[in-house]
Amino acid sequence: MKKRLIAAICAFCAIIITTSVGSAYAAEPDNLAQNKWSWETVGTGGAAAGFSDRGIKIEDFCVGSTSYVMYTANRLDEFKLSMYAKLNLNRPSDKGFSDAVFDCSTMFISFLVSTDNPIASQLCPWDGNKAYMSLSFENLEGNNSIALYMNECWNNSGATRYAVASTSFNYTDGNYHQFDMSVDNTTNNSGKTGKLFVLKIDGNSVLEYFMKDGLRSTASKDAEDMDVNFTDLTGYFGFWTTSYFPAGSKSSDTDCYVDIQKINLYNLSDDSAYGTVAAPEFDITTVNFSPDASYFTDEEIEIKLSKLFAYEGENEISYIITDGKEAPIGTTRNGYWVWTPDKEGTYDIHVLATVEGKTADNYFTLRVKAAETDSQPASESKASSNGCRSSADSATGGILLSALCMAGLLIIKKRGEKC
Amino acid sequence: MLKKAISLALACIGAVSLCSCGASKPSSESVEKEITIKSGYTRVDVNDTNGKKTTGFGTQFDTCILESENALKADEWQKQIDVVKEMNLQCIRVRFYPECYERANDNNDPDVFDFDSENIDFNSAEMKLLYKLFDACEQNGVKIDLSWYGCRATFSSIDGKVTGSWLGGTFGVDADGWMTAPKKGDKPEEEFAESVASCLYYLIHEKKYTCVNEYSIFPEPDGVISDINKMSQIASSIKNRLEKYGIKDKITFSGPADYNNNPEVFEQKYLSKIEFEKATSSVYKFNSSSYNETIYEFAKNYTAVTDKHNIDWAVAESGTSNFLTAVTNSDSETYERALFMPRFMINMVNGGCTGIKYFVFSDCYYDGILNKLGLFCFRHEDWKAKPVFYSWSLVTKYTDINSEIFPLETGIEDVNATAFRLPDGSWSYMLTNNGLSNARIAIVNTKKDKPDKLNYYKMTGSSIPENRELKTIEASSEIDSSSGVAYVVVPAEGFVVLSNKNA
Repeated sequence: MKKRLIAAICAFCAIIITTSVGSAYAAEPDNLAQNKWSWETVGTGGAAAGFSDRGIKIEDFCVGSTSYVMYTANRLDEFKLSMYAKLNLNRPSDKGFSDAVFDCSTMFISFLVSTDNPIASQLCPWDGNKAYMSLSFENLEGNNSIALYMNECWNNSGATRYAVASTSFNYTDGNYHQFDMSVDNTTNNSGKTGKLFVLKIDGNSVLEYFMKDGLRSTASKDAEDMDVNFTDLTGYFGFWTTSYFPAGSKSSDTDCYVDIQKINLYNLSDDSAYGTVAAPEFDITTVNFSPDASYFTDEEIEIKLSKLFAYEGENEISYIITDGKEAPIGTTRNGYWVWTPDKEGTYDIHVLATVEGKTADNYFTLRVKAAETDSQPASESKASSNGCRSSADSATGGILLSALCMAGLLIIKKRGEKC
Repeated sequence: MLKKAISLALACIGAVSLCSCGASKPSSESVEKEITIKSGYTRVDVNDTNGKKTTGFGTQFDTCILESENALKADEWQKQIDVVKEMNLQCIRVRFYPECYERANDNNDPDVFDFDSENIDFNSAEMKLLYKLFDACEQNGVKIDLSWYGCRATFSSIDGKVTGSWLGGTFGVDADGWMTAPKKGDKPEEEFAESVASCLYYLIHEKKYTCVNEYSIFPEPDGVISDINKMSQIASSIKNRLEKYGIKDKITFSGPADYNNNPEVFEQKYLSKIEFEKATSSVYKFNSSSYNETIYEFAKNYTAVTDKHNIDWAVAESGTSNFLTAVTNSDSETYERALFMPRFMINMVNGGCTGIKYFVFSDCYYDGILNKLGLFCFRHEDWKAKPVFYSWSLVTKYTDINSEIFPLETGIEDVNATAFRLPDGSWSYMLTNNGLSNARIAIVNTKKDKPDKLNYYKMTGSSIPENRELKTIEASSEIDSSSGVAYVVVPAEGFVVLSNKNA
């Protein structure tokens, strides 16, 4: 086992050496930070995590707003993480917010999130009691630390945390750093089995801790079934961020954010890389649309464009609306096509929708009648003076309803039911 | 048997005829005049009022927004007040509890409130937040239902000196819920009543607030107080104390704001046991799929009950049934919700409801959780208006408290309408069209004080301002109604207001 430990450390070092330290603005097929489909994100309040060719940017975390970003493509056992990131974790007082309850901003890397149904918010150890280990990057006044926490999740008390190793770190140096972390099953010098945790920053070892097996809950010292073997433990990993900037704060005001340009994950059992998840493809298809029987001149026609097509993806659909001669017609506002015809007639409308390089067409015909301006004589006012609604609609409706009543009765009669 | 069938059919025909005639019998205020309308329009007559006057359209508006967790800056508070003015917010309900001012029992005698007790602090940080809200309401004519939710077991005073409730217990220690009924001490019900009445006296008599015109206790009682007899005892005791303080006529007791939404339960469980001066419900029963008729019948059934007790019925808090959590709805950002709220309002007032408060005024943090049911967004989304702001602000802006309600029958299933005659004599007609076709309506008003001109305000899916500015929709045209007829196109899936109110 000792041999294996040495081999693992050597392999780890090799990866560090071969990992390029630099920005990653171009699309890289193996860069997990560019592949949003490998992750599940949840933001409470206004906190958000966005993916782009520049990687993951976690922003706007503050009081009441927390962001969770979980790698859900694979459940991890022994793994290595290579990450190039800038942890720009300002403290509220750095930006003139002197009333913060705690002058603090934090990013956690939680791992060994032991669940069959990963939910990003479980990265917080007391949310579901699943996240057994957390690495906290915390810029707290007087204690700018990186700390490794063991969370007592196995006793349903993930909020009980123990800092088992820690070091200091400068969060506001404005630089990107290479973070390399390995979590490896091994045996220590005393012959105890467990998981060895190693963290390196820019190639320098900063934290190392061996989490031995057979750990018993402090809350239930006598309960043997509360023992936990970290060697057997597997789980998901991800990031969650908090800060004590005022509620609703934006990173554009606080300059507090986490920018992860590159992430690679490796399976330590065979040194294979965890690949990215292929982007799902969504088709756009035409939906049968029946316009109103007729419209009137000088009255605005408004049609919700999303009702014309079916598309389940998240990308924005662009529309081109033309008449029968393929000339643009009307305008689009808030996802609606809006047009006010000024002449009566029949108009063929063609809507071309484009998304993800795919297109779909919808055709329909609008019949426009001249707006009527003549007045209806006598019968209206007569009906009115009798106290009856005078609209043709109502009269027809009344007759129809009566006829329906009669028809209904005849049907009942025909079926031989008793009246 | 055939004879019987034919008789029944004739009866049906008769009933239908009566139904359509009865809808537009001449108004008692009509000036006899022959009215002709353009063809292609459906005539809708403004007939008689349903005998109800509005008690206000507004929102819930809590002091949470002013608590430190929301870190509101002066200009942001001013923005909130600007919205109150812009939309003519008429009334609000405010969440409140005794611990805000009575940090511990004033004394052990519930018949003598000791304003000078060291346990009484009407200048506490919590009360200062209340006064800040009240001051804004006082200046802007907003009426307040001050609602004692119960005893706050999770209370943690801003000054850090008080935890839990002296009267209801402490959460996790001797109380289960966050809000509880009074239960500690020898006479907890009387102590609660003493606390409420004395606070109202202080606010009205000492602080001279005229904006507080309503109070309520234990809204949605099922979650707080299980023994309605005790609630009744407290209610009676508060009234007696207000009488002694000489302020009973200055304030209305409303409730129970229950969420059962069952008129029989409403009467049997609450109205038959507690003497409310105004009945209220908490209504989250409907959404954009609900039929107009269903909502209208719901209101009619409630009003039938409250009419027996000779009191108005209003909605203390409302929204849609599309809850994800207690503070998030799946439709809170949608146009469907924007169209639902005025449609809900029209059906409700036509059915006899006199007022509605939307929950809640703006997004903000409540006890660490962002409440996202507001009319507009929180800071991180630049306080942008949600679609529902544009519809609800048209309702509040073009009505006023004490507007007479004139239900309008359109005869079109998807189109519903109502008319208001405001206290200043102006008129507002409100119409929604939940269908997919434009509706052409001729509103006929032959009353002496009919409006000659009406501004036309239109909300459709495409007309929601893209910048989501917190400004109400402006008039897009002026309609001549001097002949007694106002011709209006109610767009498909649209909301229209015609008004000559000088807003």
